[in-house]
Amino acid sequence: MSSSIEGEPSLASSSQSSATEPSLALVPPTSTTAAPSSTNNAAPETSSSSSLDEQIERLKRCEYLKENEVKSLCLRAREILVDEGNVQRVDAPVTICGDIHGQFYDLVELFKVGGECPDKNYLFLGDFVDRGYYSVETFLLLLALKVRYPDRITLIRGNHESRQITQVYGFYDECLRKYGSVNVWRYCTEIFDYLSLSAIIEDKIFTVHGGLSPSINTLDQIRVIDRKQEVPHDGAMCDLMWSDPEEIDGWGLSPRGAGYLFGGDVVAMFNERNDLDLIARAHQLVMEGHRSMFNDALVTVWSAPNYCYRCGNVASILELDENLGKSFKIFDAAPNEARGVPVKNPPPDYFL
Amino acid sequence: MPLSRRRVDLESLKSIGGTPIYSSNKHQSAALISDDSPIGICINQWEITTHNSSIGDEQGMESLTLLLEDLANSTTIAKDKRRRLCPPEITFLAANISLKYNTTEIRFNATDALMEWAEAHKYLNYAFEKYDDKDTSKEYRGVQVLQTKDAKMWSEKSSENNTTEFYYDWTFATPYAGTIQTNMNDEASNNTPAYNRRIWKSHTQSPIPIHLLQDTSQPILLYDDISLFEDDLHDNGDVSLNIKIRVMPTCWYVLQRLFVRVDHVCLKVREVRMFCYFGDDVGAAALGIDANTVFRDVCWREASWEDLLKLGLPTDPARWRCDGENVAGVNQLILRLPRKELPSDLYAHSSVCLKSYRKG
Repeated sequence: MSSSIEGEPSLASSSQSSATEPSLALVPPTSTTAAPSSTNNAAPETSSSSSLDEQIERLKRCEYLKENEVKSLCLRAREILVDEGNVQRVDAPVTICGDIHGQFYDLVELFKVGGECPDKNYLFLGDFVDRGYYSVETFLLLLALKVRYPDRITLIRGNHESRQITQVYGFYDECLRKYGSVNVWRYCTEIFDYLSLSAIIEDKIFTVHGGLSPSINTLDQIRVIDRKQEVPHDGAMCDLMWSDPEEIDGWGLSPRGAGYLFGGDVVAMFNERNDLDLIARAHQLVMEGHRSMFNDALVTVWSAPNYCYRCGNVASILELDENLGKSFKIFDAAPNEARGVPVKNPPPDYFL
Repeated sequence: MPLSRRRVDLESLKSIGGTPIYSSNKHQSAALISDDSPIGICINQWEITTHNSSIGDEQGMESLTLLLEDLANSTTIAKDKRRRLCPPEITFLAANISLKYNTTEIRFNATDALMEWAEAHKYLNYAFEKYDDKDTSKEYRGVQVLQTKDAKMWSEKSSENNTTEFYYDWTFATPYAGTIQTNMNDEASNNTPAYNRRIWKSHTQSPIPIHLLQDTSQPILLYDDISLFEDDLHDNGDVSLNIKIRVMPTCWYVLQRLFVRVDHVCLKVREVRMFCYFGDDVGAAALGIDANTVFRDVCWREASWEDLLKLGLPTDPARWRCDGENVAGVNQLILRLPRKELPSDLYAHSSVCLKSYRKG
């Protein structure tokens, strides 16, 4: 079932987009081979790297880019992302990060704790936007780093990288508030469609935002998904972004009537069939920042400390060394003064 | 840490002979509050405290889940047939408001709220059974197993995949209206949800003197705004249970609000207002109420998405988000939602006289 909103220009129908409906489809698509991206550390266009470096510096100060800068950044990002596979190959050592949810100052904290990109190799498991106050700056910083250092940072798609969800949970409103129009939201959501669905580290660790799907037994079945679309409401692509592990046998349907739960036996079978050691995923808030399940066959990584600025949880990142040795780094939220959250309490009101 | 919204007006408190309460447990206070400010006040024999907390840790949430599952299942049910449930993703386990008077405690906390929610599941059908409209077992005391707008599309899969033991009200729509314990020192005697319901005496109309609460010349001695639980319903909407309290020189007043939004399915708002006047019989009589009495109003409102359309209310879920600048607008919109009939054991207007629970 299609979930695209009315009037939304898509790349598929780009030839019909008018000047009033901004779209990224102004540049002819590049090759769509599923080969891993080039081994260069830096982006090929060195002439514009300096302006990109300058943009990254601005974004790191939580200053958002101009609309036309966002547009050109997204165009360049698309060229890189279109070449990535649905199961993007990632080399160790690498640092795995879970949900960020627009908590920009905590992302800055994350890089302080984990080391800067490109000094360290990063893999983000999606849910960059919504909830927090700085979805725009958060996503654009990660995207700018991706364009600048394509082989030092991997971004995969979370369930919040969706047109429908972002219209309810904050990113849409934030774009409208900060830019006075939804063009930036349109550019970004088009890029969401290009984000990879999962990654595999050294053929041994499978990473995905949500979890497994009953219609997926092998990684090859993920590789053939046509991912360049809005997150569907059911099917394999939806499951990868939405499903949750649970202490059950086999598959369960969520009590909501949509969405899957998967048990330890499902994980064991998937790992054996695909010769994997571990599944690393995000998607669920955990007070301790990470949680292992099913005899360490699966781990949840959560990277938004003090989620929604009130949960009081710590966050973590999972560092894998060159031998895939695991270690978690735990970190706390950036101090309120540093993160630009209004600290002042509203005065007591005579509520009725 | 969550930002505390507690405010204590020490100057006004002192001028009317009240005293601040400071945390006696230094270790705990370090975890719960960020400074040395009071955690509550003593006024007119009432001891009123508030606490914010972080979300529960893994162990705390596991114990809570076990407690709730025990309440949701009758003791005779086979182990493999037990209903399983999950508490809200964001549960502020240690957050609470407590109002003590002699041996009576009135309190609001997430565990008590979720216990009433869990208890109702005993009376709900177990699994994806086919309902007809006359089947009453699909809702008990406002607790029901809803489905998302996508569920229809998924229903075929549920038969393919043999469903799950997880079949519960994932919107956490608790009928909770606060906890009252009349003999704090005897935990076992009356600390049950059933007792909590029986103790309230029904009134035909609200005895809460609104004009007294509208008098803004009275200083607010203690104010707090506390979240007990929240859940984004896996991005199918939102639920939150929030309590506000204000204590004035003449009275205290609590507003609890449960807000449930299941996108494109329904909205539920359940409000509990609790009030107690500090003055003597003469002062109370002047207000048309009894002294030493706690008054409670309960109001449930509910609308399906189809109802919203009929009522000319917004159907865009974002318009019903209870945060930031949206709050004032949502508060106005809520008043236009139709009222829902309360469970027979929950009265729209009721009171408890505390005189009979005095010690000595």
